[in-house]
This record gives sequence, C-alpha cells and structure tokens, in this order.
Amino acid sequence: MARKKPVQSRTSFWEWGAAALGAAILVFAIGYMAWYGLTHTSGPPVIVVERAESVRLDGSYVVKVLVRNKGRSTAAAVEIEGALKDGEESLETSAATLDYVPENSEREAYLQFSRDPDKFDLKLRAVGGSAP
Amino acid sequence: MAGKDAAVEADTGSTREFLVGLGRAFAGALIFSLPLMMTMEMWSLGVYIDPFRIALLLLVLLPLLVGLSLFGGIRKNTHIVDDLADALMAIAVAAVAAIVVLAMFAEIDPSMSWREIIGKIALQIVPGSIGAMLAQNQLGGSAEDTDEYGFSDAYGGEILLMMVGGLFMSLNIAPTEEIILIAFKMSTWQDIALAFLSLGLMHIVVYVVEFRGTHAQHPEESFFSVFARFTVVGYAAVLLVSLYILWTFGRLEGLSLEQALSLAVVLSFPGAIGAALARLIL
Repeated sequence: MARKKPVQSRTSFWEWGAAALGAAILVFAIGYMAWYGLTHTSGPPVIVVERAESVRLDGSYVVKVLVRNKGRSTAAAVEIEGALKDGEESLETSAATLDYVPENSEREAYLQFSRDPDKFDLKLRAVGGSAP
Repeated sequence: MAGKDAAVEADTGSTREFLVGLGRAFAGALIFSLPLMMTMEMWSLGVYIDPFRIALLLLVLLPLLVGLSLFGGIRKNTHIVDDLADALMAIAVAAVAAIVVLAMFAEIDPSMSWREIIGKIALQIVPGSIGAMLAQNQLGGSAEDTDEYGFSDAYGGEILLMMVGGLFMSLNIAPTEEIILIAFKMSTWQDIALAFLSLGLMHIVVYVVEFRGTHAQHPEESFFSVFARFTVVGYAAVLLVSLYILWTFGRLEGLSLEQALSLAVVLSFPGAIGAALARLIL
C-alpha cells in the first residue's frame, strides 16, 4: 500500500476501552488513597485476638485464633499468647508471631497445647508488636 | 458492499493488532513486576506506607508513562492523546496482572481491608505499567521516523529514559532490608567513593563501551561536554529518583541527612547502571 495514511488518531475502539479502564483504575486508586489519608487519623494499632475452631491431632490440640487490628496503623512482629488456666493456676502457654497485621485486617495464627483447651480456661492476648 | 467489506477487514485488522499489543503489554508487565510481586517487603509496604505517598506515586506515574510513549517507542503517535491512551492501557494491564498474580499468591483475599488490597496493587502498578508500556512500544513492529534504536534523540527524552532505567532498578532494590544494612555499614568515604564509581561506570557504559543501543559520542562533542550534559545530569536525576522512592517507601523516616544521603548513594549505584543501560534493557 503506497497510499499515505491520513494524520489522525490511530487508537482503536478497543484500545480506548482499555485506556478507559486504566483511567478508572488510576482515578479510583488515587482517590481511594487520598480519601483514606484524609479520613483516617493515625494512631497506635489495637490488636484483638479471638478464638476460632480447635482440632485434636495425635494427642495435641491446635487452636486457630483470629487476630484483628482495630487500631489506626499497621502492627509488625505481633506476638500472640494463649494461656490455659485452671482457676488461677496456669497450666501451659503457647505463642505465635505474625509478621504484619495491617489496620482493619485479619490474620490467622495457631496455638498448640497438650491439654484439651475446651476443658480449661483459655486466655488469649496480644503481647505486643513493633511499628513497621 | 465492497466498501463495507473493506471496513470490516480494517476493523478485524485493528482488533488483531490490539490483541497482539495487549499480549505484549501483559508480557512486559509481568517481566517487570513479577520479581517485585514475589518480594515480601512490597506486600507490607503496600499496607503501611502513607496513603498520600501512594496516591502521589500513581499521579507521577501517568506523565512518566506518557513521556516514555512520546520519547520512546516504535509507534510514532501523531496525537498526544494516543500516548495518553497507551499509558492508561499500560496501567490497566499492570493492574489486571497484579490482581491476578497477587490473588494467586494469596497475597490479596477478601478477609483483607480495601486499604490493604488497593495498596498492594497500587505499588505493583508502577513497575508493571512501565514494563507494559515498553513492551507495547518496543517488542516487534516496525519503526518509522525514529532513529535505528527506536528512540528520538531529544535531550529531554534521553534524560527521561535514564530516569526510568534508574527507577526500574531502584524499585527492585529499594524495598529490601539489605539496602539499609549496606548503607549503615558503609563509611562516609566509601559513600563518596561509590558515588564516583557510579558516575564513572555510567559514563563508561554509555559513551565509551558503546553497547548496542547506547548513545555513541559524536566526534565533535568534547569529553567534558558529554560528561557534564549526560552523565552528571543523568546521575543527579537517578539520585533524585532514588531519594523519591526511598521517601515514598518511608525509608528516610528518622534518618539524619548523612544517613539519608548514604542510602540514596547506595540505591543510586544500581540505579546508575540501570540508567546507563536504559536503552539496552528498556
């Protein structure tokens, strides 16, 4: 084809569709981040630990715990501790460390005991963490 | 009827062209962003760095991509809107690639907050879209109105290309803990020596060794002219890009000026090599 191409936009219909998607993603991501920055004041992370189901396996008990951060910033190196108590007496403890628990997010951890946690009082707590 | 057939033919032709371009863009996005999608620090950075800095990074990305399309690229766009369309398409491709791969790696899932998911994806859009942009521009196709390497010779274009090359290398290294460890171990004299080594290597790689695709020194240009206009300016640009990335990633917090500069010099070393080889790798 020796015919000279007319000078015009050579972006096809499909490409404009993809470009529109890109624009939407960009506007949404920038808008969301800016909105988040404006509406969320920073503060310390607040870690809440909740017990989920437990499984018995080969004579030991594994308790799944849900670790939620209800605070205003991400916590790193979060240490979770569970203590099995019979009244005031502590029978055994188990601990787990989570690399990161971002704000408003949930992570899972597992604590292992040799005694049945259903028969005793299981006290769960977040020991502490560091700022990332 | 004949006219209609021709129109349909032209349309299917452009659809095919679009799909080929899309495939190339995905390939480029993956090759540039996969190493970072498999870097642990990138996941956590997406979560905890300042949301305004993520927003700013995405804002800066768009003109950078448009610039890449303007100065680089096989496809010589007649309208700047075509460059803009290319840039936005690269962002869409990078975002889709990041969503798919991160979901497969279980790095994004519904139990996570929107902030976490969007933060992780947003950071991966940066390397991914640069890769997608370059792949759309560079892989295959035929060149018109560009020099034999596919790039125009404009000075601004050359500096921009060096910045993108530096950015690409810096992005891959800035998230790691090692960069901080290296900077803290180095003495001030080693920092200064590294800055000179970076400058020297940059100049040698670009103007002396003459890799295919690098800038050959014109006979009429003096050493000092080329060194001052390209190498020094390029290194300064890389240093600024490094500082910007370190700031975005929150790596400069609580550091003294000396430590911050040391980090920037360390990061600019690979950045300078990336900038020097930009024409080769990009």
